[in-house]
Amino acid sequence: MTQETISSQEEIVLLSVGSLEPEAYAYGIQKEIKDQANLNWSLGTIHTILYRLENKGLLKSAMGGASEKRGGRSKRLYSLTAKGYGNIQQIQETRQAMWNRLATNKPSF
Amino acid sequence: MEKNPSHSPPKRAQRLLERFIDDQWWNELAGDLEEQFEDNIDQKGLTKAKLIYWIEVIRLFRPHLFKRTKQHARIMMTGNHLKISYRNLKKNKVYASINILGLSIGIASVMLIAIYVNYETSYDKFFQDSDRVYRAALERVYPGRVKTFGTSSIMLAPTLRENYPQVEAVTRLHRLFFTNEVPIGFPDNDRTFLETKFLFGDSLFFKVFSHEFIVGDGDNALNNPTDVVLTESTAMRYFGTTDAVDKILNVNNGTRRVTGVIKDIPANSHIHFDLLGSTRSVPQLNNAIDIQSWVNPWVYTYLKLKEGVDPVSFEKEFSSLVDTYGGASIAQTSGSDWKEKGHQYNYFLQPIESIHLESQLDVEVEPNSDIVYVYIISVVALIILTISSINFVNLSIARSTERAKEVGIRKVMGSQRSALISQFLTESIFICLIASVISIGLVFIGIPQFNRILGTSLDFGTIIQPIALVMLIAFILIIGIVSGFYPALVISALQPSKVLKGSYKNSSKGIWLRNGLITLQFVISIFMISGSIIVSQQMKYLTNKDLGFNKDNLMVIHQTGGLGTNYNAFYNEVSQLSTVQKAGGSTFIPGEFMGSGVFYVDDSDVGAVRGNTLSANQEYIETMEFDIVMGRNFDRQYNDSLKVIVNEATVKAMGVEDPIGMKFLSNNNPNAPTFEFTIIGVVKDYNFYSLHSEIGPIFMFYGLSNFTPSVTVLRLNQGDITATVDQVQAKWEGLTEQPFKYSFLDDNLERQYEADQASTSVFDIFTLIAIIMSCTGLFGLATYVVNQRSKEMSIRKVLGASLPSIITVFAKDFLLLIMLAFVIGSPIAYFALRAWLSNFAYHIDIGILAFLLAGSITVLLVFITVSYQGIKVALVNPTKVLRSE
Repeated sequence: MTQETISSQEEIVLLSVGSLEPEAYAYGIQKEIKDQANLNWSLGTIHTILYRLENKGLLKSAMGGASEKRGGRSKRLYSLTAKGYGNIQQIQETRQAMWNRLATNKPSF
Repeated sequence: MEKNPSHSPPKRAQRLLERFIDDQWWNELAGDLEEQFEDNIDQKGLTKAKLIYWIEVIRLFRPHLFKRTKQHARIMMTGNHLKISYRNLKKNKVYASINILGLSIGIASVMLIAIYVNYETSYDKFFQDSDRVYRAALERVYPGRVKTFGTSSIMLAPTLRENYPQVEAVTRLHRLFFTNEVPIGFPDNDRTFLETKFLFGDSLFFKVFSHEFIVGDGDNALNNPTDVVLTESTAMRYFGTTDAVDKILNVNNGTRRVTGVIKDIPANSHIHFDLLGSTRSVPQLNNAIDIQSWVNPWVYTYLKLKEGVDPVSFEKEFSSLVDTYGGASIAQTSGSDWKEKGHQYNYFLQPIESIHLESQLDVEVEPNSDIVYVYIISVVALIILTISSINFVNLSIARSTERAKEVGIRKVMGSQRSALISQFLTESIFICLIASVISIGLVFIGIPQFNRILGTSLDFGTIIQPIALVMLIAFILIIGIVSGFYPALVISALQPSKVLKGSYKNSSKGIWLRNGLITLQFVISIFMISGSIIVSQQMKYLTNKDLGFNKDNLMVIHQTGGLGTNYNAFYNEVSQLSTVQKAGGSTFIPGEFMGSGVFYVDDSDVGAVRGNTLSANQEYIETMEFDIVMGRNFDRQYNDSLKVIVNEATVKAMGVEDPIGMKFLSNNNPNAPTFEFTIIGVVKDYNFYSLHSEIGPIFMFYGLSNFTPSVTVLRLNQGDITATVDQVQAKWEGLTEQPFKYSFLDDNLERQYEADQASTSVFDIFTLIAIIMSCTGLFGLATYVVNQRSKEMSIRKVLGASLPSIITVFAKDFLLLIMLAFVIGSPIAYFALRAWLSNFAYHIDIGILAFLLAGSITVLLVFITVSYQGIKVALVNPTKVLRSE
């Protein structure tokens, strides 16, 4: 499987989409990133990343559920594609393998 | 949760979002924002939530979210405008190059001048706290006249330090007034350097002047009389390394130890030295300190005021200082009633940042520039910019004839006037952009030339700093819009029906503006041309004026004092050379800074005279060819040891008819030993200083038989000068180890006007640029007029008019404008030039001839330009022009 290179920002967004599915929309992702990673990203930042990831084919989106709180406006709900899931999985595996090597190597500092 | 209608997101932000976000995204984003807003109200309160909403909206300014349609149309249209601009430039290569080149020369001149002005106003600002550093200068009032010196008494600095708490630091600087060069030797080799930039400072020098030390430190650098500080490049020159501390130098009166090496002094300072010795190594200054002399202004005093001290009130406070502390010292020389006699010593402060441009006192550290030159050159920059903008406007209007059909078609296709205006503005900004790129290249080429002519060290880097670049871009936009606006209005107002039928003629409405612009250009041309004529006349006058002696073929040998007892042998040998007509010796040659003194006359009706002094022998007066108008020259036959020769100015100052035989007394103190000098001759006034200053009194004392002149002058025959120099050098080297240094008097004298020459050549260059640009503008306009009247000319031709008469018809319009311009321009030039000439004590009178010449040159240039176009049209077969109706 060909690997798209993605930035760590993109990785964080992909992870939050995956964990929020099926209710993954821009504001929800913003809250998730704030809660999990304690990062204050603007909607503009997140939206740009979502747009880029969708263009890369790592995400897909569909319009969905409006609510009273949103002034009756619908959300764009994102979900991971197989390629997107494969991508973060690959990253995780590579990391894990490397971490294991590091842990057994017992670095001194 | 209950939705509270009063808690809705800020309306403006919502509207903004709706305006710029594409509909595709707007719905969901507005929803997200609103949801976030609601949450924030609960968590952070309404105000904060609104603020966050705004920030989020602004952060949604992302290209991929913008509305598509309009945006794209605008970009497409601008692209089209640029394409059309490019095609138009390509189609009219002559116009395009005149236009772009003219504009780029204009912009380049302005940039260059801006860099220059920036440089001139940056003097001494690199010193730390330079806004608190001042020089104390002396206004010396003598009975009946006033002189201002940059120098002050050696006692001023310690007095300020001890008695005035407002002063943070104060230091003294000294330069050798009577020696041009100091020979520097080394104990371990026989190299010798002749140093001209050897200054002296006291131990607190670096407390006031924050020079950066490479080795050593400023606090202890000049503690001992034998200490000396070198600049980086001097250290490299002497030792090949900057690590020169504790190295030993030989100076004529002893050895010096290097205690520090500082970074080279930037060019934009009014004080430059290669070596800085201690003031305590100058015997003369030590004597002055011993007797606590307040009389001799021999050092420069620089002081740094404490933060927050008001210099004006401080100046007032210390104005009484001379009375309090120096009265006794002054009374010794001028008598206890010195104040009643009308003597005053008033010290005042000069901010060091202003010295370079505003201080023109006697005895400056270095010759300063003049703020007038900065003003003049800024005006020149403005003039050139005006000319190039006018050219741009004129050329654009001229081209409107050709653009008329395009405009007609565009209008028929439904183009609105605003779109056309924006097209032409885009075009002029586009041209400005090209021109500015070229102009940056021109500046790059121009800076080294400019530096060479003016001796400045301007740096190209100044304009590639962000601030400068932003200013440049703003500047380009302004020029582009200002000069593109009028043509855009004119061209876009054309009526398509008329234009496309081919009967395009410009309205007579714009003719006043056009004629006004052309007249303004002629005014500028006449101003610049007459200006450069008169300036060059003055320069010629300075070099050719009868100075009261013959400066041609006069070789000067410096430092002949170093020959000591061998002087007579040297003198005899060189004066016997076949190419040497005459040789003589003295202590100063014209142009050099001289000593001065006050002399009293043995006749109590005649007041004391202050004047410059020198010693000379009889051959000096003969060699210089001074004109003796009364009495006689010195003569070895007589005992002339206590005789003096003066000039006419001295006689005038004494106010007597026949001064021969009168005696000068070296002082009027009955208790001190007094010498009497008898006047035996009077020479015609000669200019011993530059023509900027009036001739003052001078006293020439007789050099006794054991007198060793410090300069020797040789009057040479015309012919092989180099061979003579070689012969003299050979004689010199046969007698002494000292370095041989010679010069020619006329070169030395010309050097006095270097600053004037430099500004003159800059003025000349920019005059030339201005004239060329005026001509190209005129060329464009002539083309326009000729095109407009081509049918009329063809009909005239058919009716039998000759070529010259056709051209005259064209030129007549312009001649009227030139006459108008002459009437306006000449008086302006007259007053401006009179102001400039008043800088010189000796100057030419402004004659009407220069203005007539400037007028004729302008007429001639106009005639050439117009006839070129006129002939082109006049030679065309009339049928070709008339058939197209």
